[in-house]
Amino acid sequence: MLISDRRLNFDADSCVREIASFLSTQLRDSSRNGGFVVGLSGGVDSATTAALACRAVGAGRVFGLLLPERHSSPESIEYAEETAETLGISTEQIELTPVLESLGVYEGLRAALCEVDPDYRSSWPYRIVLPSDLRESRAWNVYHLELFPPDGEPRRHRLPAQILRRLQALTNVKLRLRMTLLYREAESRGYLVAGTTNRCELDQGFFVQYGDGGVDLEPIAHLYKSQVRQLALHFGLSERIALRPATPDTWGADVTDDEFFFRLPYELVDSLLVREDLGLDDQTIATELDLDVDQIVRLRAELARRRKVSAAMRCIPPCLPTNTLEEVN
Amino acid sequence: MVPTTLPELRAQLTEFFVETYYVASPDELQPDTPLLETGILDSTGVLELVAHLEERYGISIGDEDIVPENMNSIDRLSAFIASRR
Repeated sequence: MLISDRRLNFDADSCVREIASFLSTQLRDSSRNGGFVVGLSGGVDSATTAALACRAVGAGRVFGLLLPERHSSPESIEYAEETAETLGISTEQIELTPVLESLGVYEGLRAALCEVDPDYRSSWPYRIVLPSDLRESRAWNVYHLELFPPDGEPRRHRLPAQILRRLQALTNVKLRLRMTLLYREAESRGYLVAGTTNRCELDQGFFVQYGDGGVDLEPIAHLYKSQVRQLALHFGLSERIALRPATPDTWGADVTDDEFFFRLPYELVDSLLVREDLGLDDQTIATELDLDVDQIVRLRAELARRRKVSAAMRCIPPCLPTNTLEEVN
Repeated sequence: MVPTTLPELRAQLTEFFVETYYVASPDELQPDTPLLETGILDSTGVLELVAHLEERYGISIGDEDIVPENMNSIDRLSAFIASRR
């Protein structure tokens, strides 16, 4: 049994039927109604999305794009290929590194990292992390850069704000380039781009606007991560894919979504969000999750803050209604 | 000149926030306004704030200091700076 939290239990068969119907209806009603393109990252979200698309319209109408770049883990390609093989879908792999080089992304990253640590070399893996577990730490979300020289001790620096912004902007180019290539493929084929954002990511704003958030539809955005993992196993995907720790996979050094964004184990984020969705009070949540009420209050405040600051990412760009225009004639 | 009194610190910090971040109305930024929950500060803004405090007031701020008790309002920031000088 993968899901240990009873509040997250669900009927996988019924869930698959519902999503397959959703996908089928969306495709039927679209002008690009040939099938679905899915960006296969090697993670469980994209694997499960592809499996759902196959169930909805058949593997012959699902196309996988593998879009690695210099900092992608070799494991990611291996797992993406395994997913495609298991599902029987066609794929193409496009190496993003030359394009990102020509856009100055790697040079920009190198220059920014050198401003933080002049010794930095492009061959050093690095990662960006937040302080430790939010359950135990009241520290604010202060980002740190961790560098891993091959022949030396790891180095850790608090990131200056302007460097963090540059690193984020450059890293987001990777995700927006993927979006561009997914749409090139989808529009060429007359397909839709199926997104892979899950419930926690959507709710907390853990996606890049016009990057991995730039898709035609989001078939798993109502599912908690644990449920996505359960569905992956339901579809016969391997445990190493279904249970793989979630990672941004973008800086060369291993970092999990827990360390980079949530500051909590993903399973706990699931458990908190599902209880918020059910309208449970702090005391009940604390009892059920074996935490103090103070901890629950702090965790919920952080979830609420992230939800608030990311609200605009879940909307179309704001604009005024046409009736605000004054008549001039 | 570096201020020494809490009212002076409050005034300088208010000026910093108004200049650095967009505060649409002065009512949004009272001495006890929670900076994080109201969205005046975000993760990047915290880094900007810490760098500003270190440079302007000549203090060293460790990660352990960057907690709501010290940082989450102009009042708390003023008290924190005063305690470090």
